[in-house]
Amino acid sequence: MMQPAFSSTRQAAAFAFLLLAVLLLPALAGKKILPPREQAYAALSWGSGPFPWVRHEIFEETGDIDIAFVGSSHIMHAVDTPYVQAQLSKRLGRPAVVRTLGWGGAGFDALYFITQDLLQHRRVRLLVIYNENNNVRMRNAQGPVWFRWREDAAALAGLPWREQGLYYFTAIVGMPRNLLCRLRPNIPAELVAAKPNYWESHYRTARMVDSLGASSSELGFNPGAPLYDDYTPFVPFAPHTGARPADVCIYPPATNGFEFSSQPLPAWQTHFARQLIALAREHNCRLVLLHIPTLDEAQSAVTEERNFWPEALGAEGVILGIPPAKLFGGLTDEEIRKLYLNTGHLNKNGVEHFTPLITPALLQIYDSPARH
Amino acid sequence: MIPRPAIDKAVYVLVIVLSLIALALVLISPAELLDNKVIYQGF
Repeated sequence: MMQPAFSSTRQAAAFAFLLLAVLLLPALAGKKILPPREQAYAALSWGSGPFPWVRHEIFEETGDIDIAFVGSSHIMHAVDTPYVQAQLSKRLGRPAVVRTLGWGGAGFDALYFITQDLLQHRRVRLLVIYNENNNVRMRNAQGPVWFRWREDAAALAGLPWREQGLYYFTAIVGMPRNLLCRLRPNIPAELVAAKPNYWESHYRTARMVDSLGASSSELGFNPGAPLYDDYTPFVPFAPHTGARPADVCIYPPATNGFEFSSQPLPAWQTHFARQLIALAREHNCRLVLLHIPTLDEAQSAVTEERNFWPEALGAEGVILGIPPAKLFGGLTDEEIRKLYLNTGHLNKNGVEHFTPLITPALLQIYDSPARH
Repeated sequence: MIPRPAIDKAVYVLVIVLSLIALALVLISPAELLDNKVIYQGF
């Protein structure tokens, strides 16, 4: 015969009380109980993504940012941030501030909440994002860090109850760490250490402080991604494609060079994408959606985006892309693979090819007056 | 005075209801959120 789960009603009541406390904590824990948001970021190491850099840029560094590239790994592995900063400085005749704030795991929820933290602390003139497309079932594992119910629940209004329940659970998972941060503060990971940190050594990239948050990986193509880290040796390669900055298309007004599909985004993605657009508007921050080409679309003669974007961005937003067939014009499949570390992420070769082509268009958008 | 059996029953009903709520939250949430190696890793 099975043993009863509880030896007495008193024990069952204690269990019920414990369960009730765990379930209610996110709803009850307000500002007095939660540690400062900076502590949530400080709890993350380089092994969780470049969060020590993100924390530093949001909570320690001060001053305005001219251009911020913000988002998950694809944008972090796409743009040579120091190059853009140097070009913008030259154009402005003063030291410009260009930063990349990136992390692992796509999704507009992470983008919205982390950008909210950024814009609460620093003014950003031009915010560059990309279409945080993702496997529908994949969610960002760091949700318990950037989502805290009492502070963030208002942003969920309008989401189906099931989605709201998911974020409530996210907040429950984050509570032990939040309470621990309250008991003893986290010491943030060192930005610069004698040895390269986990991120720099794993992705064979320059120090984050030197690359201003971007990753230019000296890794060859990994055919086993995302299941295996099976990178081939990195071979420096500067492609000659005939692609020019003039091949970059900016929407609006240009519609040629783009193809907008009706492929839907999941409801939670469109919800947070719209929240992000509203957030940027509230902070007078211009928004640019940068198309980052993947290996799968290398032969495409047009830049493919969803028709959600022109409608959601409205008159203020800009979509920027270079048709992949022009970006990779004349290259063999083998040569194109030399520009990627896997099917979705550019390596150092790809970053150095892509960045100079899109930079003039970005600077043009930076200079142009906002449309309303 | 509430009879003891009624209290016992109420406590066990509460345990079941709260357990079901917790289970429902786990079921609607993705596995990534429960992977301690991902969430609490420290390199």
